[in-house]
Amino acid sequence: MTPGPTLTTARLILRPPAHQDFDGFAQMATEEETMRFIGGVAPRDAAWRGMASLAGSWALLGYGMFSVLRRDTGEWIGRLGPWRPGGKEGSWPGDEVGWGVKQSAAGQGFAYEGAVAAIDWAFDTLGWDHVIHCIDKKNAPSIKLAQRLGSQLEREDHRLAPPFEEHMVDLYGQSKAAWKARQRT
Amino acid sequence: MSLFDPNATPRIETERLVLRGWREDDLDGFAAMMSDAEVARFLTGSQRPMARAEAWRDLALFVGHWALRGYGLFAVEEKESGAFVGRVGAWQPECWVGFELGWGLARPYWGRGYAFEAARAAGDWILSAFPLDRIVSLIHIDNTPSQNLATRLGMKAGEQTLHAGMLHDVWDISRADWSKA
Repeated sequence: MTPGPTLTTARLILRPPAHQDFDGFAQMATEEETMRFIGGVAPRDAAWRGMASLAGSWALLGYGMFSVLRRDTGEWIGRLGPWRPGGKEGSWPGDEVGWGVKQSAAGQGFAYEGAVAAIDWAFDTLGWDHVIHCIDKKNAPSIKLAQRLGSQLEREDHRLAPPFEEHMVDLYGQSKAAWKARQRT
Repeated sequence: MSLFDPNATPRIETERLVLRGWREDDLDGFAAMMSDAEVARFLTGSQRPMARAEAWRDLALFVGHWALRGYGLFAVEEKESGAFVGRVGAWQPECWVGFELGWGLARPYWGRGYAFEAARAAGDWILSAFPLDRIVSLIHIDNTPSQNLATRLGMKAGEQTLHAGMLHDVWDISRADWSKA
């Protein structure tokens, strides 16, 4: 079992990845549109390694991306949440909350709903004081979501660490104070 | 804060080594091991040395393998010094050729019989913990030291398979032959 919390929102359950989620991960990994800006399509074996790395992040750091399930159907629809490979000592550009939702569940506000819960949890439980999102310049839907969350463009053209050194991302983000102020309004 | 409980992984002691669960501070030793071109040659898909950030992802994969499968690769520690020596144990990611006994040590610890000692103990654990008829080891066709070790463990080379675009032999041994060796 992967250790970690279970979060509940109006329509979603967020919990660390578990083995029964694999068909969802594998299916999403084949979706060209979904994967275009988050590592590209991947065969089944690579999808499993990706899922296992998320589970490993939970075990090593005490946080990682959640599996996202619909409360009404129990269906796995994506993965999102806190992500900082290597932890504080690593080369990731900051404390990220990232997201990815499979095609059949896109466009219904699920990523926004899940990201809000994940950011709340990260600020309240992990003690983060700032959150970022690493987004490809051409990934318009994710930029829109980051802005809807209240995050702003903070840095352009950041080169990621290996094995993604060929990828440049823009960094969007906001402080805990800004997030909390916004939640109160 | 860490929710990771290395005590959830079995701890196996041999004469000179300890096989145990992974800790965050194993990253230094593991990253050093994987930055060595000689080690990386047969242990990375690219055959190139790993950057530290890649080594962390590998470590997360090892730990995630334990979380998802209930078994995986152990961190290997030298009893006398407490130093990180390498990784050995069970390996079966999705689409793998079988239930693998895998090994890999940092270069300073080669040539002392450590890999044999660790692999023997890990294989004993695997066969006592899981109802398997056979275990396999995937070994690059040019990896002579690992071929020698597999032979010493009583394993035999069988079919060949492509992994990461490179030819590997699938070595294997039956439960009965392992217990005789």
